Amino acid sequence: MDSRIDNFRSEAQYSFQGLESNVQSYIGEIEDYVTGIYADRQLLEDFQCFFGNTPEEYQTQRLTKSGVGSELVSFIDNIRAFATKGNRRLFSHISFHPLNPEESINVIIFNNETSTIRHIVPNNDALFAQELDRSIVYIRKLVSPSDLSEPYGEIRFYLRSDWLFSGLSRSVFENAVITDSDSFFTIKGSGEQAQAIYRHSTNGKRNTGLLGGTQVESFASDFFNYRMTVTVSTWALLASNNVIFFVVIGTLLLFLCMMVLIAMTMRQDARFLFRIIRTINYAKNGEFQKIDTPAHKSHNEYGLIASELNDMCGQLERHIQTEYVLKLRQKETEMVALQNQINPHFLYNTLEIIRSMAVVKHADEVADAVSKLGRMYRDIVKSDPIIPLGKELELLTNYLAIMEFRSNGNFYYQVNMDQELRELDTVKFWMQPLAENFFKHGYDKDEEFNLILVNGRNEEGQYLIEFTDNGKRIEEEKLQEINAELTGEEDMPAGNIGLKNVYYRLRNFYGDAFDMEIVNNDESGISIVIRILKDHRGDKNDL
Amino acid sequence: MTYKLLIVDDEPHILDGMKETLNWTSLGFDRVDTARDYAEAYDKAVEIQPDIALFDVCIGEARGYDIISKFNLIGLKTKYIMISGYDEFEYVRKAMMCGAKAYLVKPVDRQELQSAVEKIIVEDLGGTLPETGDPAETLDPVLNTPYKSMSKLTNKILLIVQTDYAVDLSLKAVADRFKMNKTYIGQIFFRDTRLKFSEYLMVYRLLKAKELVVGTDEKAISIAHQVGYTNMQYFYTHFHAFFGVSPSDLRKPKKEEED
Repeated sequence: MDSRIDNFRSEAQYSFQGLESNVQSYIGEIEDYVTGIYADRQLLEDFQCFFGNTPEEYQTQRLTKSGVGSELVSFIDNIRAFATKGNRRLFSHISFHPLNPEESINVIIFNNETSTIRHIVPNNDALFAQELDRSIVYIRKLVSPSDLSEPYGEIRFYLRSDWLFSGLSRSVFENAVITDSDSFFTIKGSGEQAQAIYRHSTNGKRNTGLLGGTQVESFASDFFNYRMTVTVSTWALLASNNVIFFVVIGTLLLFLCMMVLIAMTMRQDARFLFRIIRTINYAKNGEFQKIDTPAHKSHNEYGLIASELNDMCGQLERHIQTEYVLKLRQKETEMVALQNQINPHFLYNTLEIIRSMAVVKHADEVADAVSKLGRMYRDIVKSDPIIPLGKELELLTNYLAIMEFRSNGNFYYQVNMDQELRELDTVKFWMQPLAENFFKHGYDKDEEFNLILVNGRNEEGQYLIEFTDNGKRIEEEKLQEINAELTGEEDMPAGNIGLKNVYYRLRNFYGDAFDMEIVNNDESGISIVIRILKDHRGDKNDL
Repeated sequence: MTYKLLIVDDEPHILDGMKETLNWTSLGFDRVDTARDYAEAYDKAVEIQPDIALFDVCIGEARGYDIISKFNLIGLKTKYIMISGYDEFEYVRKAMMCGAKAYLVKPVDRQELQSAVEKIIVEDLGGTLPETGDPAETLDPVLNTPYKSMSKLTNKILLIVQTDYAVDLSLKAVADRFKMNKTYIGQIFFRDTRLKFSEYLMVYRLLKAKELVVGTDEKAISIAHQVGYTNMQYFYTHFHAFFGVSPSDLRKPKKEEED
């Protein structure tokens, strides 16, 4: 309790010292200004013309003293500038009192924006009343400019109370008043209390004590005849120090905070869980996202799950990168190497030399096979992935001709393709793999006739392409399995230019319009049946 | 009309091979020269003024199209065929710019070269092509077309007919031997021959029968059996319908002559 009173006292003293230093600095400014008048000869002359004279006399003297071409210094302008420096409203008015009562008293009154000058004001004018609720007067005695030992008159500076003391209105005190012997200025608080304080604060440089449950501090100014008195009620002091009060309030607050904290944590966890589940769902679709774990989350269970999930996604993505993307890139690189690094000129020139030697030896079959082989490699390496079906058929027949050359005369092929089909766009290099499939599974070197027939018919509503061979049949069960795997949605098996690869690429190119099926022939062997619907509005993706 | 040919390539094997790739003589070329580099090509070109020249695009460091441009400048009227291991667009473009008539890639396709040369002979040299058709080529007795013009598979079917016409042969039997659907085999056969298999078989048998009627003294029933007819009624009807004369009437004049 005592410490609270001490705090209050020191606060009061601090405020008063602030006030005093403010006043002191204003007085200092005024002193400097007046001294400044005496230091500037021209200004002093103009001041002398103004001081104790009527406006007419002032103007006349000014005109007489001013030389041609010389700048007129105006004392009035000068003091105005001083008074309103930095837009301050420190002075309510400033009056000039000559020693001789016969001479004129001039007053400069400062209003909000403007200032007016009044002359010949009687000495008893209300303007000169020293009332603390309006202003505090600082009187500056003047000495004669010609003889510094002679008195000359005085300037009274009226410093506005509200300007001087406004700082205290924002203080912690309940009441704050400025008093002198017969008037008072209430800065803060009620008039009634101020009256009581006014009565109390009449003597002593510094008073302190209790006044009807109110703690009072009072200070007398060193510069002016006024006191500053401030009060604060004892109850307020007591309340501000009530331990029980604070404990109750504090506990309640703490409880509330905890509730909020728990609610927020749960909410945050729920959101975090939602993000984890969303990430898992994305991962199901092959999109691997990272959950950004807030630092404070990383230690609870959800944080652990999230960080493990992040690890898992990262590793899966890396695996996919290495297993799929990188290998794909590898294949592309190998292809580029085939196209560029192995000097194709060397290959084709060598083939031409082999062909030439065969021709010279009249091995025409060999010569023709060599030129077909060269053609085949050229066509495969050529970059355009989309070609007319007729061109694709040429690739196939070229290959079949080479295979015929390689066989012991027991391989036969026949191709018949309607013209409309030959003009159809298709992806490059899918017919040869189908034929290769025959040589892998259907061809029998001991058979007299190994046969591949390729038929393409322009039928109503669809194009039908059949690869029919007379090789081995496939057990029905196994056939169903192959067909199911063929049309299944699984990804293309890597490193396999087999049926699935062909299906995958054609499906990609023709979309839903395309269908491929393997059937057993009645007689022997299998047929690969390909249907492409005409005018199908399916999701055709151009490669 | 005879033509002169110049072949330019820096590889001697290829020069030898090119001389044999086409039957230049039968196309009308009485002189075939070769050159292995630019200087030799220049000398030979100026000397013999070839009608056609085959040029490799890369002859050592020189480029075929540059040499051709120089030949054009000295007023040679030679027609050029470029042959190259490269089929880069830039080479093809330059070859076409200097007026080459064709651009062939290595290894050379005999058919493509033949077509290119024939085209130049007809269009640029105002010549004619030799009669096609090798006199040595064997013709099918029924179709009267060379066997070469038909697919290997059709040839095989014809061979089966020629071997087995005497037995109970049918399209089904042929298809069975191929282990293939008889409709497919029938379609293939028809596409090449423009005859149904059964029609071809019948005509072949009747022709064989006629040979026997004319060439032997065997009885009709025996001949019918020999060519695969089991039903005599059919044999007589078919024979008469096809030749407009019965087997016995066909044989009569012969006998009358003998008489």
